[in-house]
Formats: sequence, C-alpha cells, structure tokens
Amino acid sequence: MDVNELLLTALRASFVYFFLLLVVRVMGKREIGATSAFDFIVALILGEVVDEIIYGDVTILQGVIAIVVVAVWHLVNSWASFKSEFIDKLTGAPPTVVVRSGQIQRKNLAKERLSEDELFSELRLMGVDDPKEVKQATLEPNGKISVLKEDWAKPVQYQDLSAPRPKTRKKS
Amino acid sequence: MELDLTGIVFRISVMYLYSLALVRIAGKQSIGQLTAMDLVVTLIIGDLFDDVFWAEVPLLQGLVGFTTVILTHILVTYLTSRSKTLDRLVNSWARLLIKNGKLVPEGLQREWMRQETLQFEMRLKGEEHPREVREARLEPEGQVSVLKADSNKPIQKKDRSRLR
Repeated sequence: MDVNELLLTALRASFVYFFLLLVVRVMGKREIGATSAFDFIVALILGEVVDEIIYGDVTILQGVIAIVVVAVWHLVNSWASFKSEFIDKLTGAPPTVVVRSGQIQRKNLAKERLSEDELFSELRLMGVDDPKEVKQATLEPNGKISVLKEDWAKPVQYQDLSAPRPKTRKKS
Repeated sequence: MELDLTGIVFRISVMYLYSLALVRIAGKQSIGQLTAMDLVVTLIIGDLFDDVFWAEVPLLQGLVGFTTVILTHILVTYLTSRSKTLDRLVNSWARLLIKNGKLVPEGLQREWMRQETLQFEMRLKGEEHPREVREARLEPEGQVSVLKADSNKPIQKKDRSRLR
C-alpha cells in the first residue's frame, strides 16, 4: 500500500461524491428515498455501487455507467408513472384503507399483512387511542399510515367560532 | 482465503471508533437525514466499511475513502449554508403545490407529481381537501409541507376569549 494508492482512493472518493451529487440533483427531490419503498431501494442501490469504484475494483467509467443506468431507469419510471395511471398502479402500490368510520377493515389489514397490534401501534404514534375517532386511516404508498380524524374528534377550529350553531356564538 | 478472526475484530473496532469520532466532530447536522444527499452519503459510508472488515481492502485505504467522503460532504454543506447561489445549485428549492385551497397544476407538472400522490401526502398531514389548505409545498427534502387555511386552524389559546 503506497501513498499513491491512498491518494488515488481519495481522488476517486471525491469524484464519486460530486458525481452522485449531480445525479441526486438531476433526479429531483422526490425520487431518492422519499416517496415509495422503491425510491428508498434506489437510494440503497446508488449507495451500494460506490465501494468498488472508490477502492478501484472497477474503473471509473464502469462505475459511472452503472450509476447512470440505474438513474435513467428510475427517471423513466417516474415519468411514465406521472403520465400514465396504468403504469402508476403497476409500479406503485395504491393506498389501502385500514380504518373507515371507526371500523377496522380486517380484510384490508390481512391483505397488507398488517396485524391489529401494528395498526394500534401506528395509531398511538399519531396520538390516537380509540379507533372510533378515526374517519379514515390509510396505508399509503410510502408505507406510512395516514390518519384522518372524525369531525367531532378534531380540535376546535376558527371556523367553528362563527358557525351559527348552538353553544358557539359569534364574537360580538 | 482463511480470514484471521482477531483481524476482523481489530479492523471493525478501528473503523467503528474512528467513524464514531469523525461523525461526532462533524456534528449531527452534516450527516443528518435532511436532504437526499445526506441519505446517499450515509449509504456510501455504510458501503465503504464491509470491504475493510473482510480484508478485501487495506484498513488504511478504507479510512482514507471514508474520511474523504465525510470531509467533502462537510465542506459542501458548509459552503451551501453560506452561499445562497451555491445552495440553489446543489439543493433544489420548495415548489408550491396548493395555493389558497386550489391546486397549482404547474407545480405538480414540474415535479412529475400525480394528484393521487399529493392527496396521500396531504392525508399523512391530516388534511383531506385542498380547500382546507392555504399552502402546500414540496420541500427540498422531498417532503410535502401543509399549511392549514386560517379557518381550519385549531383555536389558539390567545383567542380563548372568543370561545365564550
């Protein structure tokens, strides 16, 4: 291991860094890790190919081509999913409703291989302890669960002040 | 090739302690998960280590690769925090998706974002209808931020006199 090889390693590492910076910038804010499980996998792939480049097991050109091919396919996928609902459904998971009007949708839970304990854990993380408060809980395409509360379970809002209802009076 | 077990213990320990020290010095903000690049850098670092563990790469070379990536990232994040021009060049900026309860089609188009995607992002923020949203943006980190319309905000304590 001579100093030259270490210097080359540092050079290759900086090159890979700036090249990935460029790729991430071109891909846009959503395409790396943010929207779906697959975006995250793409981020992992991009991170995984670099060690061979930095340590000089493959040439820079081979490494660049590998990164570009992954990036281009992912861009094509994003564009096609944006343009066509069919491809969007094909490549991205549609949302699944797991609680509707306070009722746990057991069939859909089973379809997503989600246990009731996991659902309750997710609801607790959102500060909900009673599913009755939930108008709709959905397992979203990015694997997170969204919770929309029933109207009566929401905090009082400014629009409720002026509503002509008993108990609330207009501000005089 | 027979791998020397004590060598594995030694190399992992050195890499672990060295990276712990460097990340600690770098500060949490530089290796956080704020931007897509932070995520990629985190993944690169994880990727650089295993070759050293299995002695496919000399320890010294692993340390140099790791140090270079971290220092470059610190330098870039430092420079982008100082210069607005550089920041715009390296990071993207927020894109308006909903304005005063109405979708901004141009913003969705520019980000290749389907309405269904915006809807699920809104649901994740507890909002169902665009009309209850004053502004929604796709932020540089790739997340959608949602600001409620004034009428849909929870009443704040400063206004509690209006409740009675």
